[in-house]
Amino acid sequence: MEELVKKAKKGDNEAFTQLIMNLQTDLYKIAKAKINDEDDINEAVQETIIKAYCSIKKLKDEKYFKTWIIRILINECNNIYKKKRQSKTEEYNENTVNQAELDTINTKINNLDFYILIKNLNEDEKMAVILFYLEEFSTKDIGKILKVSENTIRTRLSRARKKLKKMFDGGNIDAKYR
Amino acid sequence: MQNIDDIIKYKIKQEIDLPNNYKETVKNTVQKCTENQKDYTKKIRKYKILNFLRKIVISALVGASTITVYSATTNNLPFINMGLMKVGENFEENSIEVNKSIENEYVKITLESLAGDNAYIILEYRINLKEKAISEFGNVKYSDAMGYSLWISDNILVNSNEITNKIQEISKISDTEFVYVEVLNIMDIAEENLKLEINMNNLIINSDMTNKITLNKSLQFDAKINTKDKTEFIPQERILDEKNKIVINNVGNTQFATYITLQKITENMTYKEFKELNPWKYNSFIVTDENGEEISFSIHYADFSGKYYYVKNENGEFELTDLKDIEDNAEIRYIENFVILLGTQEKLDNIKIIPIETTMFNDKNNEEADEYKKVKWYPLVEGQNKYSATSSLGGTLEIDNIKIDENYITFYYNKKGLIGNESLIILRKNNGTMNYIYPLREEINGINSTENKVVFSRNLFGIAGLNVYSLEDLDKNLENVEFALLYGSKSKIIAEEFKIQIPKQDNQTAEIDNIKIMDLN
Repeated sequence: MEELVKKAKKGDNEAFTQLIMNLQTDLYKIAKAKINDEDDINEAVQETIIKAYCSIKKLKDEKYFKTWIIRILINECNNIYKKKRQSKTEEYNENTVNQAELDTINTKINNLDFYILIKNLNEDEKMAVILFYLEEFSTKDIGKILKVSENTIRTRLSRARKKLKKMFDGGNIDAKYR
Repeated sequence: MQNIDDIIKYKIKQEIDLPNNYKETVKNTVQKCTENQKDYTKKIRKYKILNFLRKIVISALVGASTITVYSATTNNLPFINMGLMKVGENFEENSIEVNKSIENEYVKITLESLAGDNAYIILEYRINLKEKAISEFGNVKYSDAMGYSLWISDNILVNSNEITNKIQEISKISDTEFVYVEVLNIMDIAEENLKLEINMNNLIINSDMTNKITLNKSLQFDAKINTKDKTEFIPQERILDEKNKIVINNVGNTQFATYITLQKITENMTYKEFKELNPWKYNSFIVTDENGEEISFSIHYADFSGKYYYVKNENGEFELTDLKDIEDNAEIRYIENFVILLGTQEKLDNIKIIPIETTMFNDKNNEEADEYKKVKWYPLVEGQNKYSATSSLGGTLEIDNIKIDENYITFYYNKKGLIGNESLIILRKNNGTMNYIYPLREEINGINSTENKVVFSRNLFGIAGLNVYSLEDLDKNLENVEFALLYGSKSKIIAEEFKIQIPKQDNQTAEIDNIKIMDLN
């Protein structure tokens, strides 16, 4: 990835395209952990790509590209979340996955684990889990990204582990997802 | 039972089927950023103002408040938002009425008027969305950062050569009616007789390529322009060292623009050597009057990228080359093209252009953090208090008023002497951690506004450069918010100034003829 980032910084559009294509699933999962509506996810990721494209040249260390773009995405998600909350045009329910939405995106069996995970955790836990297990960031880095202490991240992960363990052991999975 | 960490990791890393709509959005956005960048310039530029290169991309300075101000006086044409105040002043009396339309079941697009001179060709369209478009695609969205999300996807040929230097801006009349202005930059075209083809492919609504209305029409016309000033100007150059020079190619003064075109040329080095240059240094320019006092100006890249790589071939000639095709040992020539605009200012007979080099603060070696500690922070207080700071180039920035409403925090300022490329103002919350944001936009008297001001949004989370710091509660809580002046970089003068005589205004506008609309094959 670092080589692609270097090229993208020098203006190589193909490298930038490749970077985004490589990351598109992760970006989706992270956005999905934060906001539920598919249109909002599209908007957040779209804005993120534009900002990344415009400012990638200022990224000083290529190895931090992923951290950097995730931070942009989380900011975008926060913007959208906040706007929605203000306008009250759409109610956000952090803990549910809309069945109609699942249907419309043609969910297949291998999507289920991901949705089960994010369904059963609260927003803070979801984000901590995604960044820790998907992106494999350290708790210290996650703390920096989310602007909370490392201890808070550890607590969130611990809570999430307990919930998920219970769930995977068979005690708490919504029947329709089994 | 496996370890819970392994299970979670396994499950969360499993491939998922991404929604088709999402995949389309990602693909189209990347495409717009890269391949279709010429049509996306304006939108991209709006974001660039958030970064350090504020003077390079000043055309991005667009915002709702300026739209309102301008709309009240000039028939909704948003030239001020585009940093083109001179066009705004002179467009109406120098444009010709066209009133030719294309229409389908979704939309009627009318080319209402057209004008040109040796700097720009300007097209004013009125877009009327029909019920079918609104019901299928929804109302056109607006955001402070992106403007109205309505875009004619076109490619433009001048004498059969595609031009990429164009910007668009939109004013809203009603939910279904918009004024859409497209400005084509022809400053570097020396031919007198131009054949223009505006090939309109689609109308895109709400930034979604699936929300497109097929147009497939070609607007064509001839334009005869006066190229006397362009052909008579003798280029001036400054050699910085054996590898770098700056060239002023052209100076123009027309009804629509007072402009200077420049190039920074880097050569006599291999691509490997080029890659090893410090990426945190960049060149820019300051414009002063003949007494050395900085005047209002904006600098733009001369087209979307503004940057071109040439590689020496086996015949010893330099050929334009894609970056990805360049090998490390290739001898390259790297050219950056700039345009300086001087807006509506008068008495610009003699000016000076000072080449500068700016080095941004490095956050890898604590420089940024050290400077953050050193810079003076002031509590954010509304009112006519004075604050000032000195630039790395010795000039003074003075804030004389701060206004705060529910949407914006606006700083009014004056400059004295030379100001480098520092961010004029940044905001932070004093909470013991390092954090700060850049403004939403900067407005410059005579360029894209009638006063100098820096505007922060309270509703969008601002970001700051690489660190992407944000202030998340700015809308409801200004407690502990502080601001600092002139932060982020240091600039130095790198060459003797260019002394430029601005020619008398050439009032000859383009003779436009033979306007027709044809089907696009």
